[in-house]
Amino acid sequence: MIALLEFLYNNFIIISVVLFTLVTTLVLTRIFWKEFFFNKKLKFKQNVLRNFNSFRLKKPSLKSIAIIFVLITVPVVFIFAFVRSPIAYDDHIHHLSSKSDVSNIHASYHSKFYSMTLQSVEQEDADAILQEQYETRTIFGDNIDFVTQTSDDNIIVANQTEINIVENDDNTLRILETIVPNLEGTTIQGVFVTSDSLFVIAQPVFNGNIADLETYKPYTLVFQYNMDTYEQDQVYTFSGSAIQIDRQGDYLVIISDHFIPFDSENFDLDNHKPFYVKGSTVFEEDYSNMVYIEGTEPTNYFTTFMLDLSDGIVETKTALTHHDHQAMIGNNAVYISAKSYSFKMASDYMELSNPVEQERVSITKFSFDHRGLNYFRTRMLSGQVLENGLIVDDQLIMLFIDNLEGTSTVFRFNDRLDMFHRVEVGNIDSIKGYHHQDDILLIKTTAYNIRLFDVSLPTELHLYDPPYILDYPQNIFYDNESNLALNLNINEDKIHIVPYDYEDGLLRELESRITRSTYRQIQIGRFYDVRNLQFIASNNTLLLPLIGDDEYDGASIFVTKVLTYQWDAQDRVFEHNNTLSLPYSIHETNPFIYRMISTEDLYYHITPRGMALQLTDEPELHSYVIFD
Amino acid sequence: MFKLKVPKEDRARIRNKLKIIDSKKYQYVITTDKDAVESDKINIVFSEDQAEKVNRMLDSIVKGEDVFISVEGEEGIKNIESRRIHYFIIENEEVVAILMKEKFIVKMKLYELEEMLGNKYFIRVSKYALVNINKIDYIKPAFNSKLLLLMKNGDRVEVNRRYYKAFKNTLNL
Repeated sequence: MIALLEFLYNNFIIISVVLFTLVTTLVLTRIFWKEFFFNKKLKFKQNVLRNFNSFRLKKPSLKSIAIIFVLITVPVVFIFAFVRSPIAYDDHIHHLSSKSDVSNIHASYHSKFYSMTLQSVEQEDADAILQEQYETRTIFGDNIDFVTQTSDDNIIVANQTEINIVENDDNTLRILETIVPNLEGTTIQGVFVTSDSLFVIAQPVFNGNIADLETYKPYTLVFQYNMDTYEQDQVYTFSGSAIQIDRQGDYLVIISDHFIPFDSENFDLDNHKPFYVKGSTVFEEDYSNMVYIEGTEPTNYFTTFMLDLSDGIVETKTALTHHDHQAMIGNNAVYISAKSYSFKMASDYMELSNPVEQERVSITKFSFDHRGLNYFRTRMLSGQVLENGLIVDDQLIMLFIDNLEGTSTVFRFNDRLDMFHRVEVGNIDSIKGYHHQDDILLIKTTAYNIRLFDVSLPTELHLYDPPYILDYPQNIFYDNESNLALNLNINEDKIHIVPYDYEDGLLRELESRITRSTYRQIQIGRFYDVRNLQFIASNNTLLLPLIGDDEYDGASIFVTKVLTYQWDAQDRVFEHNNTLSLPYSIHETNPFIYRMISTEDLYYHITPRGMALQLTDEPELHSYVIFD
Repeated sequence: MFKLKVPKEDRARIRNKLKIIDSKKYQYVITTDKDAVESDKINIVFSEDQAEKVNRMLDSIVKGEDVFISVEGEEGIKNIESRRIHYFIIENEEVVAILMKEKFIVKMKLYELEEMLGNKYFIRVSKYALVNINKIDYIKPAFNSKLLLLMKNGDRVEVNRRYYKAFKNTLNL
């Protein structure tokens, strides 16, 4: 049956059938008309000859009517069934209104893009896409972490299952409250506070088992607690694989993907709509709240959930677009960039071997403010976006595009998505990471080099090639006050911190490199990031946590060691001046998380299992608590 | 053949009584107004109360002009009114007159019959057939620009492509 449909869905055949039936209809209509005309004339002639009763004009036979009807109906049915109207775009966006719009867009894209229209995404491919979505780790904004601080200086620390509120009572730590949310199999990913609420974010973790792909559904839970009573006020569920969760002003913004397995058995589009749950009420995304980004393969719902933290109102907006995209929250907006094709006009009607006119990159902005969450604008640029090529934060929007001619171009946009500058940056494979502070943007472009941009002047300033070939992603830390850039690398079982002078747009590597052995490097490599590295500019102190070994009751154990280095701003060198071992009972390796909060007088060393207080003028711990 | 010349307000009524259809090329003027006569035509002036008689007269005019054709049958030679003949056709190099249920050999060439009857209600439809228009029951166009004439006796006679235009012109009067 499928083979027959595929055969029928050949535009050449369709057009031939339509033309044939049209011609046949014309010929037969002409014959039937002639029949009527001749017999009318015959009757007239016979009347002239005073032969009044010999003739009766026959009415058209049912057979003739049926033939004409079928012949007219066949091309009409073919046209309606197989030839679709082109989709109309406004600013590269098609606003959806119904379920059939989604189906039509999907069918239309496939009819253009694939040589066989009914070619489907193989189940294995769909599984791979789902698995990748489910295993993608959510990126949390800097303001959502395992540790946060309340306005009255209490410290809130989360581990995977509970939240502890700790107060400093005259330099003695004390657990004020322990909250155990009803996690329903999820684990806590981060916490943050507003003036009157504590918010806890939790997600399920996919076990990686392909057999569970059908039943597993990713989502994000957001618990809201009253800061005075620690009672739960509300709980929200947001559907989809969350890509990024960030606080933007008074809003919590969640962007998430929902792959649409169009070709799976018993597929029903209504079962894949994005949704959120507030309390026990389910709110499904309405098709009229969706847009389709022109030329992108419609395989995924990209949904933005915007939770107003002050009143609990949730707004949503969904883009139907390709599952392989890049998206970021920043600058009171959500940006998404995806591969888009412009198709030859004839591809709307004909099966073309190469229907693509131009390969493009789309960048779409959804903005949010007191007026709500709204589609803002879409731009199209020719080329392919580099891996991690979309960079958005509060001050800049950049897009790195491979222009398919051996070079790459960086496009700078303002918040209206107007491109105000572009700069050629040679051949770049991908963006590994970036750090933006003040006017300086450090970009690690490949495994071997770092680029610097002075974003106040939108030009590339410098390309630096460090001597190391490093296996693991590098993180970049930059302190403007000290003109110091730190490149944090993890290689095999060693952590390297390479300091650079940054001056006049140049990076100059300093000799005072810190290289330390550590254990469990695989876990370190996965979880270690710049948030573990603490450089306190006010007193030029660098705190470097590591996993070290120790002995406890005669057995070898792992502990978190915090190495303290003093940065000599004059001589531009680091000097190691202290090593502090956190108690075994508050050491944590799975995941390895260390956070530090500093004040003028003390450091809080925090892990998910406990928290320790160290006075800055004392090398040892002053107080600590353990979370059971 | 006829031209009815009566006041406009009486025209439909009288036409209905006399069953007249006007011809462009007419020989007879039928009128209730003696001033409407045409000198080069045969004029019939009548009053409306005589319409019945005029009607029969008109029938006689048409039928009275009928010609007789000598035909050979099993009973020998006899004359039959041409209006009874459905069509003439050449069979085995002989001209045959086809009637409702009978057929007779005609000792004339088809073109002679055409000359004799062509200005009446017979029309040549092919090299082999001459058809009585009054005996055509239905005209059926075919795909190949030909026409098929279904005769009242159930026979079928084909209008050849060469005679198509002439046949069409005859019907257009």
